[in-house]
Amino acid sequence: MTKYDFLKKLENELRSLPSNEIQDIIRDQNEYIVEAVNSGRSEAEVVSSLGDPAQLGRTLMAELKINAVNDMSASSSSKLNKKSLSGDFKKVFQASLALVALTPFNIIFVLGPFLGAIGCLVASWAVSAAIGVCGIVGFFWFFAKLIFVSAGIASHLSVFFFTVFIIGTGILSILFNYKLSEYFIKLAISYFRWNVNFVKGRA
Amino acid sequence: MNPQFNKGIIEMCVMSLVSLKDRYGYELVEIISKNIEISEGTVYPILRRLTQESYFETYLKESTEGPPRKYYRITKKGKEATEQLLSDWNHFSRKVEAIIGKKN
Repeated sequence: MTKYDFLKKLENELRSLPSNEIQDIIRDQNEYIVEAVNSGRSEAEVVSSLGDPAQLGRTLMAELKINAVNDMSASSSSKLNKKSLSGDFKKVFQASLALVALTPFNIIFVLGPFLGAIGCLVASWAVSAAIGVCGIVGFFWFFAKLIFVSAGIASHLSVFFFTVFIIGTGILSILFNYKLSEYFIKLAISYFRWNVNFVKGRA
Repeated sequence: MNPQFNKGIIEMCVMSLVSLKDRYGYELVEIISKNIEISEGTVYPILRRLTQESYFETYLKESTEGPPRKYYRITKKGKEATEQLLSDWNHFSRKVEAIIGKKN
């Protein structure tokens, strides 16, 4: 591989980084290779001793994202507001994805449980949504019955209370899911954090 | 060399070399690989991380041949971390030596 190919491949691997960051890394690698060639080594030999440019790129990306996690202010863990919660979640999740790319063993320990938990959460929200839909349908049913069916007041009232019960259950379950999701995000953040530190210690 | 040892040891070597004198990337790899067998690609990510963690700061200096060299300079924070690391290492290696150095 020539220096050009090496730098091209590395640049391609880093494409999601800010361009000044990419330029800086490419500059450093170029400096290194030229320095080595000036000391009398062949370009091909230097490039091959630097290893796979894609691997180097992945390592650099992972380092960067791990650092973003470490930089997360300590205040964000003590006082969580909605915005920082989702921001932190994104950062930690990105770091974990970078680590999955770097250490395939992480697929089992991170992606597996994460997708499982997301699945449960989605199912729980779906149940909530279904109850909500039932409530809305019940509401229309109540009005339809009130207008089109002549029956005793007791019959209308029973439909009414049943509808109120369903809607109440729906609202409660939505609140429950909301809290559950929030708790899940916090838990995921600490799990990812632990994982990042764990993998960092291993790597 | 056993790859399990590598990363931490190389990091320690890099920190201790830079704490003695400002160094540029290729120079560091040359010094280390003279003594320890390493894959050259492992040093750069370490340099970059140590810079991000503000253990090092960098500056460019013109070179007579080729592109400007990026020099790494130790910061106060980096100096403290290096001293801590080296004292841990000395302590640890003495203990290990005490165990494996005993002739049965």
